[in-house]
Amino acid sequence: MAKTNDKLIVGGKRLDGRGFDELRPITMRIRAVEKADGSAQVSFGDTEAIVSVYGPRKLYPRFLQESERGILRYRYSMAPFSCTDRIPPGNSRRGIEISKASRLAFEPVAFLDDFPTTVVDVFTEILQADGSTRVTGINAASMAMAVAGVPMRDLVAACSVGKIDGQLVADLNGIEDNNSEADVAVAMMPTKDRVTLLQMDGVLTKDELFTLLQMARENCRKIYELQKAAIKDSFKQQPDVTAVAEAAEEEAAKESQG
Amino acid sequence: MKTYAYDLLVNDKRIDERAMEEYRDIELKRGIIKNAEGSAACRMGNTKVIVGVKMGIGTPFSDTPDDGNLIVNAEFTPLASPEFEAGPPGEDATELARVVDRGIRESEAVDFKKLCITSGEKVWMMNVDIHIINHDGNLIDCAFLAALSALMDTKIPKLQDDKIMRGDYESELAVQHKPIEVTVCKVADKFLLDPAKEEEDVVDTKLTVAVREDDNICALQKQGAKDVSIDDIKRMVETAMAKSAELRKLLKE
Amino acid sequence: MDRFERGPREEYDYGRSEPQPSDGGEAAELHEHAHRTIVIPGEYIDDKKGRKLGNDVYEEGERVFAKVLGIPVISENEIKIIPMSGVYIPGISDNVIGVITEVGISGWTVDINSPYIAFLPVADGVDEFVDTNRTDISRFFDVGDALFCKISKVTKNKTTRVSMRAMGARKLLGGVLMRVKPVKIPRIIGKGGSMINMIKQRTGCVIYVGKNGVIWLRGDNKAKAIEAILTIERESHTTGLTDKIARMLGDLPGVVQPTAAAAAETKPAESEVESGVEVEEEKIERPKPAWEPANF
Repeated sequence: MAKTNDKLIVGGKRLDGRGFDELRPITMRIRAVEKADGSAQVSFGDTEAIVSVYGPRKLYPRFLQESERGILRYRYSMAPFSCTDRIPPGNSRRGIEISKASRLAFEPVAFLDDFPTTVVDVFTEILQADGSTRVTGINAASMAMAVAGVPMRDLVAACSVGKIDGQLVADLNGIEDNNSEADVAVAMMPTKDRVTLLQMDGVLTKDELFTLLQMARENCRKIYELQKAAIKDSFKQQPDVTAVAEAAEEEAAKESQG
Repeated sequence: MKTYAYDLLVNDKRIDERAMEEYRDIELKRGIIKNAEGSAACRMGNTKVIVGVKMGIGTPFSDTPDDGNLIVNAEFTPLASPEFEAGPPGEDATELARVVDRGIRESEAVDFKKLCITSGEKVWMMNVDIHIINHDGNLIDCAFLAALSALMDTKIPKLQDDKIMRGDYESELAVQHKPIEVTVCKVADKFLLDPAKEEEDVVDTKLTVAVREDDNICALQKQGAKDVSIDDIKRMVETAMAKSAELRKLLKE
Repeated sequence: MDRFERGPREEYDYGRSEPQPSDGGEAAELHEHAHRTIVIPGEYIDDKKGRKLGNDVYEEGERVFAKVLGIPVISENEIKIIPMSGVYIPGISDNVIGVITEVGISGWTVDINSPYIAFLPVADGVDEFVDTNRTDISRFFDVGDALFCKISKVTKNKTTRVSMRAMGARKLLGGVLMRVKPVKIPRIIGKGGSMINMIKQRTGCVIYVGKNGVIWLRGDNKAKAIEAILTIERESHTTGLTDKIARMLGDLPGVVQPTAAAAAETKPAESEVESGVEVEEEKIERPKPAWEPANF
């Protein structure tokens, strides 16, 4: 995405009309990939990530196995068509680094000791990129892992915060991300109030950074509530309409018999 | 099985009798590689890193027609450690290169505009190649010092009819800021700096902080498989900021 | 019997589900104490208060939290979770259906639908004495054979052994295998076996259910039985499921509701013979009391 010399904040609002601490519209759904043990699709505005989790499953080659605990593998990848300029398929250095950081975001969270010699594979694909892709991926991965039944201490919620045109903001979209004075990615275990991923680029004073951390903490909690609701909603009971009708008939019949 | 290093650290002791926030002996030498436009070697204790800067010519990105380019690469050469294997950079080498890159790039240590040859067509490319020579812990901090020193040592070659005249220099690379990267480690509830390899192996979390001379923070990278509290982060950032001034003194002009 | 619960329905009725019975024994207790809402990993369930904790919860001080997505079951003695999903982790004494993947010298490697592979030693597979130096044990079990067997040992890093020396252990001949999510097995079995027995009776199929999520069926109406089982798997968290399955199965053609006299007959009914091949139940002779279930 290109750099611009235009202002990012006009009339006290961001270009897309949001307030400084406002998240983009978020959609979340689970079971996006039927074959996976767990999967989820999450979008923040136009950024969209889909994640599949496989495992715990057997790990080959055997020399990679750890006898005392399972291992976690995380692959972050951007689809070639996800950005304005095509991204050649395959690993990029950026993808490798983000994969490592994302994996570490889940290392303290999963109970890997429960599954020695196995692997939990997390595959994150960014289908559409409009800023803050790695945190969107982590939000989806967290839900996918929960749905797969991987035991965890907590969900992981993640968001980006940063500084644009001198203003501290949350959830940077593409144009903001590329033209920011600073951008920070944070992932947390929301109910434990612990940080599992922290990356920052740009120029910030210590106080600005500390304010942003607080902003991230609050937004991660909001995102957590959405993740929780999305997972629970999808298990909402589907009322069996026929049964209701039949039961009601039975009841009515009994009553008419006196 | 926890190692003896862990036992020492949780009792505020180091394996070499340093204080918890004390760096090992640091040596910084410049101009050690004849064929590089800029070079430096940094030794922190037994950790040794050599950085060479080669200047090349390339095309600028379309949205920044007047800006030169920075490419940072790191090789975890197999001779440096029994754990390193030959082959393309793995995730750790990739991460190190990118963390060093961000510290230099985000702090605007080098004025990219001064690397413009012909706007929109030709700019200087700085290839910063980090070569690990011996791995005894704290590679990022050591590599960063070496990389920044190497840039400060870099001279821009003369151009004659679009050919680079190697060995013939027209100016020095304009390094306008002096960021320092300090990696703060946490094990149990203890914080430490500059871990030797054995100490690094038992550390729970690391936070690399890039601090500019005006005390602005230019990059952060959390590593390690454990979680931290926001208070921990604040403390680690403050520790890094305080220490960076000390390390900056090693960068002679 | 399950009844579709009438009464005011809340807008967000998270997982108001049937109590999840396991092998039948705990069913009554679960029914009384089942909490109705699904919890996600990290959600607080209750204070420990000296109770036993299941595998899918963890504690921090006195507080107990969920490790997995599932339905918490809180009783006087125990706090645990019925998970909504998850792989099968071998547990000692579990009855499982495994498939032989390798024939070794002193035993067989068995795929038990788990990240963990099981081993069946010759001595636990066959009654007769076998000189492993001279015998090719594939004459007893070969690659691809399906066995209904019992987990006899699981070490700390989940090295697993199975045994055929258990009540009902046998090689499964003919028929088909299907896999379901292991966490759905208790629902498929039902309170005291009520659900699976209904399916068996109404379809006339022989069905073996492994705790590891593998099910073996044989019979003319197995397609209907399979459909019923898949429905249970999909809708396990809903109420009124038993009625729905009963309606699905209805009365199927050609199924003779077994009478006591018919059950006494050992000869398989005509409908169970497949493609003209005589089905022969190859039984392992039940060992003498040297192996009591308690020894596993």
